[in-house]
Amino acid sequence: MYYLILLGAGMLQGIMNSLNAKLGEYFSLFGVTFFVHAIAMVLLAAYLLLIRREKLRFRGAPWYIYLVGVMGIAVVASSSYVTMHIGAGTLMAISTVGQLLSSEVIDLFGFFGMPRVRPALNQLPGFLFIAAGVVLVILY
Amino acid sequence: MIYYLTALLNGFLVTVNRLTNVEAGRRFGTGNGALINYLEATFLSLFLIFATGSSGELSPSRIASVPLWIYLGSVAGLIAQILQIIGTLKTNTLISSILTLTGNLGIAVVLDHVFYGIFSIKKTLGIFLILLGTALVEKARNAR
Repeated sequence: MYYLILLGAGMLQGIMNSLNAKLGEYFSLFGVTFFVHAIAMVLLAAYLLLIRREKLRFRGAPWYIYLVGVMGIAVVASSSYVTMHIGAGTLMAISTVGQLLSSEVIDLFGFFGMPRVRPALNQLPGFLFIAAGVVLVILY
Repeated sequence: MIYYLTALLNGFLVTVNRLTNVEAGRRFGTGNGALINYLEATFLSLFLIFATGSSGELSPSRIASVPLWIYLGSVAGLIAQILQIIGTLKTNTLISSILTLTGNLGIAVVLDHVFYGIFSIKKTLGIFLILLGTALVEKARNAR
């Protein structure tokens, strides 16, 4: 049951990327990022204020936490831009590679307070499959 | 090539954004942590729309001309976030990552065909290899 829920979550993420890219046919990239975030903001604020009756508080965090919105815009704008030109499947495939590489870099240097961990040799077969996949995705 | 490099950069941004969101959730609570992201991004996008002279696209007639279902991407994203939290709590991070990625890539291939007429067996095989490789890398990472 929970496996199906997770598959459903992934499918909804894919639908989100495709719909956001579709929005890019009507608006500029900043228009897309505006509507994507504004709709979610209104829904989430309504849920927190009206149903959960939570107090909104955003003070007392390190400065880089407040860059989260800038990164949100960069993520939505870049994914919509790429999806419009090469499709959501290719975006997700290459983006996954970026996520794996950046996770390894963050682990290696211990950025964001993460414990420092070196890449292990047993990860090599996985990276070879990924490299072969990337070649196929880019060439075809 | 610029699209592939942007997609790779998107992956880096997703990772850093996820870590920052987790930290925001830890500081402000899960709901407030997600809300600050949407709040900041909304107002910053609004500023950028005006700064780039594109304010015309916010006119009611322009907004109404777009089919309603196209605006539902962020709703899908919100529901996905909730489902992923529920599923991850009851399984583990490895299973969660692989299953969400499988669902994501699977539907992306279908929607690319529906929306843009893009379909290639070899490209789909490449996506499958990336999925398989990701599962192996994540499994090895968890075993460290």
